[in-house]
Amino acid sequence: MTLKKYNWVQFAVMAVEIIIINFAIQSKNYLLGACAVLAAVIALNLTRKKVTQVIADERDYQLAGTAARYTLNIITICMAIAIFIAMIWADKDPVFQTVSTVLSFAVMGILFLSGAIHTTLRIIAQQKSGLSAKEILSQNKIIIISLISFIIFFIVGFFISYVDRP
Amino acid sequence: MKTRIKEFRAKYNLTQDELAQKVGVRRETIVFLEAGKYNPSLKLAHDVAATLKTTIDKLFIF
Repeated sequence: MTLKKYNWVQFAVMAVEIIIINFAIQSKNYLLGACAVLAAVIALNLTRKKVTQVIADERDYQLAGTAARYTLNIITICMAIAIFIAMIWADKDPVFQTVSTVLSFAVMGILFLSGAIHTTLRIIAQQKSGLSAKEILSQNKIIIISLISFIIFFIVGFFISYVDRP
Repeated sequence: MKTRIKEFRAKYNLTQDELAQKVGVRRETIVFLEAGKYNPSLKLAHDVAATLKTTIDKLFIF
């Protein structure tokens, strides 16, 4: 199968998926939606294996990395502005307090996941290059401490936001 | 960065598509390489040089 044909299959699967999910939401048949997503993932994976041409190469991965970095930066800035606005409006409507809290945790979650994945990949690469566990630990000490601190702050923040609220 | 990929490709009568398939990248990447608009990884540079039966030094002019 050529890449062009694969792109058309992807487009067709996406179109069918949108129709099925719309129908599933309207008829409140959520199992149908979940099954459709699963079927689409399987169908796309099977089709992908039949493509004889190169789907993505090192240039695409490099671009994807840059796109991910920009996406992360844009989302973080937009969310920070939205959180700030929601906190201002919280005095008028308490709903915005919840909105700001949810957005804050979402941003924290995304940043944490990004940092954790980046660190994990770096440690794997360092392991592959033959560095000892002691060397890896000493090179990533600050990042590991930051991630652990982040988890602690996240849990503490969660309890302050939800558990201690009257 | 300038490259002599086009010159070597013509020497071995290879199309961009054929070279791309041989080194395992998309044709677009070969286009960018030939135009000197993409810095390849060491592996890709080696693969292209090996496919065109030359060395990295002769293929890429820095």
